Amino acid sequence: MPADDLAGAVRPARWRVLVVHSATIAILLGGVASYYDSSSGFTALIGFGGKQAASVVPALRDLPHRVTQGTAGYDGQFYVQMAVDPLLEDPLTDRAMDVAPLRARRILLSWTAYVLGFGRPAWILQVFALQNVLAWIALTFVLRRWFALTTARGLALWLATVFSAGLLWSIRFALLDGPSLLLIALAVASVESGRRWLAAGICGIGGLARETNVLSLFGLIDPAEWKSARSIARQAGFVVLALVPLAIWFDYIHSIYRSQIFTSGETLARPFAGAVWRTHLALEEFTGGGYQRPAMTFAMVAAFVTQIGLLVARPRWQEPWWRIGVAYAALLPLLGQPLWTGTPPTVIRVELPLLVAFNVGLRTVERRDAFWLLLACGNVSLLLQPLFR
Amino acid sequence: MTAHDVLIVWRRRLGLAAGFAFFVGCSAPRQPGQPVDLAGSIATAERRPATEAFEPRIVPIDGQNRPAIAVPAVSRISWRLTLPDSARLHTWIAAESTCPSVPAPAVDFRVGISDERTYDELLARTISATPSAATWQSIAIDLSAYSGFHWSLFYRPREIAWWLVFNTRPIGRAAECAPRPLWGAPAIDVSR
Repeated sequence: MPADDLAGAVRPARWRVLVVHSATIAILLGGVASYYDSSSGFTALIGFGGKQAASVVPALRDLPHRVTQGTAGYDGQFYVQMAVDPLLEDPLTDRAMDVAPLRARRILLSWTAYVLGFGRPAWILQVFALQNVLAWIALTFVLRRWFALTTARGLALWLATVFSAGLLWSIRFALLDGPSLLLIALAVASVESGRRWLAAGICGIGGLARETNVLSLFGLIDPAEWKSARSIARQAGFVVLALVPLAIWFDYIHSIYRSQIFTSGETLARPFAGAVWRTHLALEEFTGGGYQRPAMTFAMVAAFVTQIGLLVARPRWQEPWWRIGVAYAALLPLLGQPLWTGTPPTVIRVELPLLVAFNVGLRTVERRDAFWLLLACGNVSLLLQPLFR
Repeated sequence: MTAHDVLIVWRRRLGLAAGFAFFVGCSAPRQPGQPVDLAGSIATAERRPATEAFEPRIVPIDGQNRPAIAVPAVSRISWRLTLPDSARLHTWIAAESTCPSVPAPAVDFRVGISDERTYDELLARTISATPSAATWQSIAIDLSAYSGFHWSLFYRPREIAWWLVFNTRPIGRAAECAPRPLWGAPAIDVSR
């Protein structure tokens, strides 16, 4: 094909991509805008609960923010309170938390909100509420590295990922998982571009957002490169760099909470205890005549089984996403009961990297019918999406 | 000097500065181990309820005489102190019935340590106040996590004035006759 004709064919495709991408962002922003209130801004996205109102830190107590009365609220309310005391120097910050040492481990988004809000509590509130939206928009661009919007398959994979329940839930309640996934995706993109030290640095920063993010280290460690002492030492250097920020922060919070810094609030449990509990509960509800919640549970379990099944059936050691997906698949059975409660449960947020690894892996499925079937089964948690009311 | 050379020089300087900061951060003057007689400093401790008596006396229990602090059934003693390196808390605990003819409830003994922000429970034990079961129970608690040098950029237990807290309360049904908890010869020594 002559160069001019080729350029002519590419141009409409680029326009289509631009329109699709813009429309996707517009849909998301439309959903987010519905949470805006002229008096309290976007604070409805944080999830302050009336039951926690008495312990809110003084810096935020008198600022207008949306509180859902009669509820305990959601995790974002704790992280935003850490954002007005980013070094956790005030004991009142502890009293505002449900489990202070657990929350303190996850400081990164509190810091970013503090910096972007110039340390002003009123601005920090709004920034914290919207950080996930910014991260989500950035993620839609980064994910295009793996999902080509010019093909139906690529577009489907991209849409399934950016509108996954875990990501939307993270936006809905200003949680850590969306920005965490962005950092992991950036780290993988850096690995694939040959910038391993940068990737290690990003992993290190990501670990400060949520400690499970350090599993993205597996994207850096490539067993195929263990050919000489030098390459092994280099990979060890990646590991050290990726762990240093978290180690320093743990050292800091240890000086405050001492042995309590490893308090997990039962987020980790013996293998499969959480999953079995949730499945058992769903069976009981189903036999009791319930339909909606059991259906959601079975859909979620089916999605995880599909995701892990594909990773196991098609090992691709050389791909960072596959290695990260396997690491998160190994984490899944260890997640305890508190992470399996709620609708949708926290596991679908924690396991977002597994979902992306699965969707990236789906690109290798050539059979048309198998691709669409696996796409549907592995992304069925889309049905749990909560953003639009 | 090329840009690369400048980069190398600055990298070395930063490395040295980081090493120096780490050295300064981690090294603190050593402090000789000074045992602390908690019983002897009861007068300077914070006692609750403030209106009740916390009397030091020699108490014979199960044939053993020990200097002890007899405290009200519901009580709290808090000592504020810096701990010597490799500190170790030693005490004995017992509960005596104030009217032997009447059954007394058991007593819950608790020891904790706090820096006014985080409270760590170090001991929780229940002792019967029944005269026939009365005996001294030896308690030894390792306080090295709260004393001495630690490999840390931020945690300097030598510089922290800790609150060492002794609590007691009766458990079980309300008794006509409250038990008398006893802290036998509480002291902090230094494990070698």
